[in-house]
Amino acid sequence: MELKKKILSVDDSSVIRKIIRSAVEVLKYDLLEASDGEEAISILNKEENEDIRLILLDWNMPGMNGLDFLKAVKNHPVFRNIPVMMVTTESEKGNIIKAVQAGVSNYLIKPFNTEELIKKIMQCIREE
Amino acid sequence: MSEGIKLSKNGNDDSDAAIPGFYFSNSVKDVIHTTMGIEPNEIKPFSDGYDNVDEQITGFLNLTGDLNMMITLGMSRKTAAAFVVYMTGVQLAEAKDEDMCDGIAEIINMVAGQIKTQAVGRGYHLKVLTPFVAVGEKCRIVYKSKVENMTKRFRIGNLDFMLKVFYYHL
Repeated sequence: MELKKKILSVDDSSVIRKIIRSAVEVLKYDLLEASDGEEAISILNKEENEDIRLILLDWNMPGMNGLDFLKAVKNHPVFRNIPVMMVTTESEKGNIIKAVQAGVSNYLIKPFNTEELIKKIMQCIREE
Repeated sequence: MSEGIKLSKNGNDDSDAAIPGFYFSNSVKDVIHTTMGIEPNEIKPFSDGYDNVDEQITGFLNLTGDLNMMITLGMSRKTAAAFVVYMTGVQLAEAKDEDMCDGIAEIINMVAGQIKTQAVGRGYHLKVLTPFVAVGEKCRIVYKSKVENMTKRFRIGNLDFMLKVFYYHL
């Protein structure tokens, strides 16, 4: 049985995750949600979630921040090939460079509209 | 960096201010337009400083660094619920209190992000601290009379909301 393709949204804002959900549903993917890095790692470790095609990641979150989560994913033997797109208010050039050096595939600065988000998701998935 | 006026006194035509008033206005309008697809109109707050926007939900956020300020975004529950509907597409009846608070926190966070970016262009580096939201009936923001402050009022349809900026020296 073919697993439905999934996208994981990691953001402490339930409103942002709702906005992302509406975009992901347009693309007919399932959306998994995590409100912080630790919860996201727990979701990644579940066997039924092996078909996660993309992670949408906020930067500023309680506990493990987005950059630390990104580094953890990119250093993981199993998860490192999952593309990660930052979705964040962090727009400083220095921070964007840090994210790129840590292995981020794409970057979307908040605020964004749904069309922009869909376009960037499709870019990430196509490149993968 | 010189001391002196850091915020605009008279609204927007004050390019001498550290961050001119129209930067704040444009940040709010851009965030609202991008996330909700609607453009708020800026209207004058009441001239005597009294406003009758019932601030039942107010987002607060501090920016610190080369300048130090607190910004607040206050509105009625009805306006906050409308924001959630516009942002997420949920039905009005589904807009829960936690979503309203979360939505206002996100909006003020995005506004602060835009202000921070524009401040860099004027040579000021700012750090955005964690937003938080106060909820209550007939909340009033009370501040020391000598704190430099600015109020901006916006309207979408018949829904008003207020941005307030309080600059402080450390």
